[in-house]
Amino acid sequence: MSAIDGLLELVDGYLAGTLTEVQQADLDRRLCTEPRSRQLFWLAINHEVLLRTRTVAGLEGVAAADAGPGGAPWWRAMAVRWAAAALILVLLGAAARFGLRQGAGPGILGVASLVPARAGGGGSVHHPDHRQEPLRIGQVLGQDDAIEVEDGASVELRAPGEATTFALEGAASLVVRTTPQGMRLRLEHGELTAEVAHQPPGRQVMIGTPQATVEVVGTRFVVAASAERTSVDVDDGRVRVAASGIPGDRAEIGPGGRVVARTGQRLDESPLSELSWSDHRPIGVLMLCTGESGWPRNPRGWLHDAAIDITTAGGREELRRRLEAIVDQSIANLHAVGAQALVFWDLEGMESPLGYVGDPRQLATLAPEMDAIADGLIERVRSAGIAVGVAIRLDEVIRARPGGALSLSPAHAPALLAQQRMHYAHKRWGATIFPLLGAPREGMDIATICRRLHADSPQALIIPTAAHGEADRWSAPWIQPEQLASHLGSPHRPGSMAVIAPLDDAYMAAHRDELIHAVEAGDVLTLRAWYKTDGHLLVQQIQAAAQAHPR
Amino acid sequence: MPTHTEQVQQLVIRHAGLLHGFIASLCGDLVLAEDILQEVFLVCTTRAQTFTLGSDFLAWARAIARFKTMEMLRSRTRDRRMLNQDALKAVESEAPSLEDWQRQREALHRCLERLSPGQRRLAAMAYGDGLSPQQIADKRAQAPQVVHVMLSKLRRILRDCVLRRMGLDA
Repeated sequence: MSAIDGLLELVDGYLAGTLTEVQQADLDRRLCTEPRSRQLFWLAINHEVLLRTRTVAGLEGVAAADAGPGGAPWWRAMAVRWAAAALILVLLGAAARFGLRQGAGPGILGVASLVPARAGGGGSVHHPDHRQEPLRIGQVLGQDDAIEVEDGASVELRAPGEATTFALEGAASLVVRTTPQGMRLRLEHGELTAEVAHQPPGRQVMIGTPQATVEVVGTRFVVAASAERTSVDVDDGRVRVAASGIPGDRAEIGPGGRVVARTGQRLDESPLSELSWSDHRPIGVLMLCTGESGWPRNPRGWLHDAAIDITTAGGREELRRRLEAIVDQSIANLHAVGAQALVFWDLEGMESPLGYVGDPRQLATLAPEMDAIADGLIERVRSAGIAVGVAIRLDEVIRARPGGALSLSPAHAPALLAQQRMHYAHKRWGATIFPLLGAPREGMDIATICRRLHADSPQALIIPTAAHGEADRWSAPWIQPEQLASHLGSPHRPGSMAVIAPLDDAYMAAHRDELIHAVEAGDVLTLRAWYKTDGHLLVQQIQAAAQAHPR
Repeated sequence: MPTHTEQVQQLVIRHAGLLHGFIASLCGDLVLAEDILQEVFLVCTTRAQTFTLGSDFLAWARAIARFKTMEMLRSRTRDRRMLNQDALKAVESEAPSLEDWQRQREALHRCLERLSPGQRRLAAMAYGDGLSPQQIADKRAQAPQVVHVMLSKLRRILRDCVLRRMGLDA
């Protein structure tokens, strides 16, 4: 081993916390006596930091660096991403600890993200002194501030210094208050979802909803409240729930437990039902773009065609016509095989190196040409009696600077983020099927995310592309072709199902019997909907054979 | 015109990566260093008025980072070894500048560009998507040990390439 390798191994061990006493002494000695070792030490540490900044997906950082005169300096993409995570903490922390917020009490929550309604409005903040101001990102909410969210908008609020997040959606109203015993929130109307972190001793978060008061001490849980219903799902610790208007009707639930409060009814402590998706017919997928086309007039790579021109009205009209034709062809193909649904994977286009975007809420800004026609395209699908799906990503998708590349940033609360995106797609297009792209970075596993999404939308089919553990209790994992052999060879958990990614015709023909068994057991086949292949006939045959012997 | 505090915040953002590395050098823990970095951001914001724009920002911020790191380390039981005081003093005296950091970042990007398509995909999964080796193994239907080896090799390729580009391989 060279001297360089030896030193770098010591630094690796230092960062991994695995050095023995002797190795640590060796590292100390070399750093004290060898200038070159000090250089290598810094290089190795900064190498790890650079990799951890996660700007390397698709090398978008290079594009930013190459932006040329007037472009943002290379560090900004990384820094903005980091700052996005830190800024609210800082604003709130500063405000709360040092009274920087003028003319108001300490900050209780900060507006971490705001997705306006399609009409353009987000909402407003009403202060106790009757001042009113528009809702904006970075705003700090103080004592007795009331936040009004416009119908169609969604807002994420975060508490300073802790992983507590609240999401408010359309036509919602929330009053914020803090006491020495902890935060007190009152949802007047609308939908609230909360992810509450462990609270320090002596403090508890209390959330009042129209149906219940939810009281929590040192735990992590989710509360979802609407005008008719409040549900509480506990990850760990214990939560007490008291029904409004029914004296003595209280419940205390522990890890994995749930309770639902409905107006005028006693609390319901029935456990969350597992996924029960009765339709096992095939699902079509529709991918409309090619990635990183670099075509100036078709930057999002629509229809893999450099000749498409979205910069002119005529070009956009031509795009609409061609997309409608593709959707109609897809519908015909899906009807031919008796498929249940069509899933759109890339409604936002593929302008950036990150691939599928999976944030339909940003459609108007990311792909305005599609935003203008998406409703009509999807309505054609639904009118044909075919259900609609939309791919959803678990990461934040941000553009660090105007005109720069999109990039991914770990979501602070991935389940909440996915939930908001699903709600948007459901409300706008009636979507009920949601492939989940990506994997949670840390702190929460995919099974927990799937459980939460299922609890929130039990009528939806969630298809995680990176499923683990018990995710299949709440969702139908996406099986890639390379995973198929092990999937088919593994025992099927009763009641579970998977969604098998589109397969090559030859593979299907060669594994016809195994695929029939998989479909018999509940798995769902998919197919590329926009063009017809021999594989469509195979899907049809496999489906028919499986239906002859259902599980 | 940004306020004084906002200008200081911009400086912190600009130097965030460097400060992260600096904190990691002190505590030997990249994850903990991220947490401490956020605390440092907070303190820099609240003490912004004590910094004179145009003076040595990095020295000022490193002092805060050092203080916050020691404070954090005192408040928790540590099972990791740390550099001794002499070593800390020695490495800190040669801590990289912003220009050094930029050079290394540029070198890394160039090295990433030179990876094979397969290696780039692996890098994107591990460093872009932040997937764990287990998750990558699941996605690729490979044994976790195989992914560990591939990642270790990839990391090594990248680091060797950066060393060469920085002229430190001789």
